[in-house]
Amino acid sequence: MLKRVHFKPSYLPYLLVTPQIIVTLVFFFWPASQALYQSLLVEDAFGLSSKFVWFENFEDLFSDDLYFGAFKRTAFFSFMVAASSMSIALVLAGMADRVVKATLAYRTMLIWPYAVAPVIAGALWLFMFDPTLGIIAYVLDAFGYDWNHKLNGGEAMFLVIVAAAWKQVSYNFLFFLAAMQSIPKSLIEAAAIDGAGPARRFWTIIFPLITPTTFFLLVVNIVYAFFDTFGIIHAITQGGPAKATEILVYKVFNDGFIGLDLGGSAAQSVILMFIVIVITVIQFRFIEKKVEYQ
Amino acid sequence: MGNVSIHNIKKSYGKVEVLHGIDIDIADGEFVVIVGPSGCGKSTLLRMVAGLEAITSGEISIDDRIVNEVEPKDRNIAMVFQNYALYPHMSVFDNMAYGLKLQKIAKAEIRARVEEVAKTLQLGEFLKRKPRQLSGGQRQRVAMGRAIVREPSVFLFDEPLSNLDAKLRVQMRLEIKKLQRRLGVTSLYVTHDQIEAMTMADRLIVLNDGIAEQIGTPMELYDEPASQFVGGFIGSPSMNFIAVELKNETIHIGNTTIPCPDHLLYTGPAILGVRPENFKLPDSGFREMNLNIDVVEKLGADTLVHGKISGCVEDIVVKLPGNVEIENQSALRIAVDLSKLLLFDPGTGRRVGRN
Ligand SMILES: Nc1ncnc2c1ncn2[C@@H]1O[C@H](COP(=O)(O)OP(=O)(O)O)[C@@H](O)[C@H]1O
Ligand SMILES: [Mg+2]
Repeated sequence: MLKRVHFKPSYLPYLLVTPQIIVTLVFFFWPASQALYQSLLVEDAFGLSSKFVWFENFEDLFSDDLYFGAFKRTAFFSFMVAASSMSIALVLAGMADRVVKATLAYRTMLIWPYAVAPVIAGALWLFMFDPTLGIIAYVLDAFGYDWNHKLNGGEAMFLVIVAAAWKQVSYNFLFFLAAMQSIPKSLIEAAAIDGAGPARRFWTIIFPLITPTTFFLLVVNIVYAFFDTFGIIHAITQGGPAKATEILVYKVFNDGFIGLDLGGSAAQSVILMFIVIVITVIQFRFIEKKVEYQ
Repeated sequence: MGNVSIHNIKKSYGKVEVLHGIDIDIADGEFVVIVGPSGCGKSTLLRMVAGLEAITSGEISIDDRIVNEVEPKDRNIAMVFQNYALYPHMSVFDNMAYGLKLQKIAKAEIRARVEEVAKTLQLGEFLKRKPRQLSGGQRQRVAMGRAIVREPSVFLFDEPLSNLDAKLRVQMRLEIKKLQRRLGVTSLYVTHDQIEAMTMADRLIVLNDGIAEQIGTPMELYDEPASQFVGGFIGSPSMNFIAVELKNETIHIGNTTIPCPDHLLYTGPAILGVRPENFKLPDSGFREMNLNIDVVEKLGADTLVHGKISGCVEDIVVKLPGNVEIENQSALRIAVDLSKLLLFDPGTGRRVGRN
């Protein structure tokens, strides 16, 4: 029989978790509840009075083609950011895993972009691709390509994807590398003896064994692309040209603070909140199960 | 076919040399065991044969072909790892078929070969399982199966039994030996366990600090160890070593003197090596000595008596039959089989005085 240990009741534990609870309440629950409440109101044109309208804001959104446009754009943007940053990170990690000398130097350099703030990252890429000043735009011009993301929506989308993906490569790289290095070396050696070359070993042994990490990163990257890329877009395109790069978070900001449609903006953030909750649940399910292996 | 020749093989990691020139020729079908204490370079040597470790200098050939620069997959070898190295995301079948698939062998033939090997290893019912759903012994057999199914000309084993419990280890070492006999495939087997080495090997290489102390059959190593290290390493309980002095055709052991047997030709201080089983209770008077008893261990079939020969400082072990009556005695008269005595140089540890 195990005996449960009883401690004297003490206030200390409560005291210790209080700051965290206060932070969560003030910065998460309170705004979230405000958003929920706001999403059920409609303000008049001057912002002087508001009216309770139940789910009218949501109904408006779901019948709004612009909103669905932003949804599709966000899906494309997230997919491209996640796919490109993860595949670049995977290749880099695959190579770093085989590097024997100067490992630390490589890793340190590869981690730097992660420390760059989103707005700065945006500004960095903006400068390089600036149609009149940017070095890359200049090089493209030399090849006869007339780059102007301020006019061309496709180019603008490309640019924000590159900037957003670039920043996330480091993070993905770290996780991929750690996952690869936790695979016992003898497995790779056994495969080498069995006749598999480096590429075959990667696809038949290493890649399947890091699936849990890949799933985890996929979720993290999608969440990142959905929510953390605001700064990058704000710095590079402000959602333009002609809403070509206006993803959902940016639309929340645009409609709420620029368009002053607070109710509609709140309804959009409630929908985003719902998406995060769903993604988080999926992630927990997968992480809990450790995705099949081990 | 299937012969391996290792010629003056050296290995350095940076400035540190861990193998100092190993030579051995292994005949086709021979079972050779590399044995030695942990860290002596056994795995390194085996991995060089496998092609997993670069060769610093020297030459390795397999099937009469120098393989120094040949990729592991082209050496026609199969290896069983200590941790089995099974692919955790593949079924037992896929684990065994992996190498065959890469050789582009027809599906039907792969299936036939894997199933046949699985049958001989009693793995038939587990083919669909993942490695994590198997016991240690079953995993070990899958690792064996993966090696066998490729029909290589050489098997390499790196301590394949050391993750099993004692009973299973004894059973598996017998199975591996039987299998190797039946298949007749040249095998190079690494272990730190001298009993495993003795029971399995056609020939043994005793490695010590990157040097091959001795190469020979188990009985050669047991009867004629080339050095104190080999004498002490082979045999259980270990050989006893006692500092003695030889002069005028007698051996002075502590305060006892015994006649020097004909096969020993030496004068001066030396280390006397006597196996515990070469002691016996006295029968004919001379060459007896006095043993001060510390502990008596009754093992049933044998009795191990631990103590010191009077006048000596070394702890020794004497192995006597299980039925001897030793009741609360503090001393015992014992005799030694003179024909089995060995002498070693106190400085170098090499065998001396061989007539
Ligand atoms: N990759 C390595 N780098 C440096 N030293 C190594 C490396 N691998 C093994 N060694 C050294 O080589 C020696 C022999 O190792 P090993 O062959 O694994 O010993 P064993 O298998 O006999 O226990 C050890 O002293 C070990 O520290
Ligand atoms: Mg080893």
